[in-house]
Formats: sequence, C-alpha cells, structure tokens
Amino acid sequence: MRINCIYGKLVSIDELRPNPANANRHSSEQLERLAKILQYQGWRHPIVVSKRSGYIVSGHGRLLASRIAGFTEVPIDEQDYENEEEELADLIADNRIAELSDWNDIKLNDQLAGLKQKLSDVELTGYDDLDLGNLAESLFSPSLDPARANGDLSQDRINAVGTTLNNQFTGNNQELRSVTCPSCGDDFSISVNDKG
Amino acid sequence: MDIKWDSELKDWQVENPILEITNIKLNCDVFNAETFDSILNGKAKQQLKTWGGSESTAEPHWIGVTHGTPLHTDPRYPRYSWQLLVFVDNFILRGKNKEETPLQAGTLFLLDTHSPHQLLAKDNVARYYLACSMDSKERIPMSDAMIKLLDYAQNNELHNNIERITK
Repeated sequence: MRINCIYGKLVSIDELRPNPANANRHSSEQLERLAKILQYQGWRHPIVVSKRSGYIVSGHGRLLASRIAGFTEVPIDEQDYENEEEELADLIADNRIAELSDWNDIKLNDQLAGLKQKLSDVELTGYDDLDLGNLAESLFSPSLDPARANGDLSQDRINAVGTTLNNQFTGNNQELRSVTCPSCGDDFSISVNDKG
Repeated sequence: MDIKWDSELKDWQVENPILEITNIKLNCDVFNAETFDSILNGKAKQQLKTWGGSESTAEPHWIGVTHGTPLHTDPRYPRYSWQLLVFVDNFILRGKNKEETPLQAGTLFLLDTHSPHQLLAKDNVARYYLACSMDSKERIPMSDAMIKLLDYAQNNELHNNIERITK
C-alpha cells in the first residue's frame, strides 16, 4: 500500500467508525472501481475523522474500497469541528460539491481515448469500456439542436447564407430566394428581380 | 505531408479522420467555375489553398481544393478543422481505413487533420472543392462551429483578403 499524501496517522480499518448520519450510498460497482484506483494510485487523500465525534466525515467510500483492495490499515487526518452541524455540513458538502461540476465531454473523450492506449485498465480512470462507448457515441452522432445553440441556426438563417453565396457566384446583386415547390416538394432558388 | 498507404498509424492517429458530420440544407446551388478559377487555377493539377479570414487559421476562412489530394496529414496546422462545404464536385473523403464519406454542399464535418486523409475524385470530371473552414487545437462543439462558419460565409466575399492565400 503506497501513501502519497500527508496524513496524521495510520489506523486499522476496524478502528474507524462510519458516520451514522452519512446519507451517501456506494454501489458495489463504484467500490470495485475505487478499490482498483486505490491499488494503482495509492492514497492521495487521507480519510478525514472528526476529533469531536470520532466518526468519519470524508472517505466512507475509500474505507469500504480499501477492504476490497485488501488493505488492513488506512491513513487518516483527524480534524476539529465546532459542533455537529459543522461536521454534518462538511460531510454533505464533500459529496455534493463534486456533483455540481460539469464535464467538457469533447476534451474528456480525447483524454480517455489516449489513456485507453496507455493504461493497463481503463477503469483506473473511473470509466469502463461501456462508459467510453456511450460518451463517444454521444459525440460522434451528434444531433444538432438549433434551440440550444448559442446563435441563430434556423433554416431561414441558413437560407440567407445560401442566397448570399449564390449571389457571389452569379456575380450580381440579384436577390435569390429559396422556395419549396408546393407540388413536388423540391427546393430551388428564384430571383426576386426576375421579370420572366 | 504525404503519407504512404502502407505506413503504420501513430498511436494518436485514427483510421477515419471524420470525427463528426452532419448535413444542412444550404440551398447553395449556383457555382461559377470562373469565379473559383480567378482565385485558384482550377485547370492545374492538385492544389489546396486557404485564404481570407485573418492571419490565423483559427478564424473562419475559405479553403479551396482542385483535383483532390493524396493521402496526407497537416502537422503544421491545428489538429481539428471544421469545414462547411459550399460546393463540391463528385469527391469523397477517406482515411487510412478507406471508409468513404460522401460530400455535398451543406455537409459540415470535423476533420482530424493530424490523421491521414485524402480527398478523392470519384470521376474524371470532378475538379472543385470549396468550403468555409476554421481550425483549432481543441475540439469545438458543432453548433458553435456552424454559427461561426455561417457568419463568415454570409459576411465575407470569396475575394476578401485574397492576398492571404497560401503559397
């Protein structure tokens, strides 16, 4: 077991007391992945324990995952809390704040594609092959949603661009307008100055 | 940089360099070869030129190709290039795996220019390829790219900043 973080002391995992107020639940799938990551990375953050209550405040998942990883001791950092409210608020915020961040899916996909070639197991990123497939599919089969675009992507706007380009190639300032034939449904351009 | 078909891909290259693609109804159905030839010499063999825009290819600009290209990469330019096709003859785009992507006016695609790619004529008369393009080191979302390219195509004539044409 490698420890790469500053910590107060090493304690047996059996000595640690999960906080009964903890409302955050961990699936077996999450814990399996976390155990792999702990084995690969070692400890990057100690488990935080309240000096006031003796309960874990941050690191419930890491404690459970360390059992799966076969660890018998874990690094902890004992911290002061003024009262129960401060301790509970920190416990909740520790989980909640991470949920509020957002991914740049395009950058993430590129990074995961690169790491998949170099890591022995892509799950060391917290993502599995199914996650990677879903992420790639969402990017490479994009549905262009004009309503969510940061600008005008309406067909009227696109038609205006087509008209401008047509004017350039015809070499005059005739205004061309795209129309749809009510009979056959085909689209074509007409000149609004056309007398014929 | 021309690439041999039997060369190995680097670990950061992909077999199909078209990363995203969609088609919009551009309704641009007029093309004047004379206009295009006044910028590029369409009668000459394979050419790829960019012009317009600003000093940086990160800003939207025009890109014109005549007679297609060999399999190649563009390592001196940013990796990603969004291209909105204004006019294209019977060309397809393909990468190392030779999977063919058909092209038409209104096709918008994201090209990984650092992976091998080829613009290939599918008949003997195919000559012209004209697109509005912008390059970037990181991938730009499709809708953002489309808005910028449409803005540029609408507000910049083909001959704008022709002095910036690549040699």
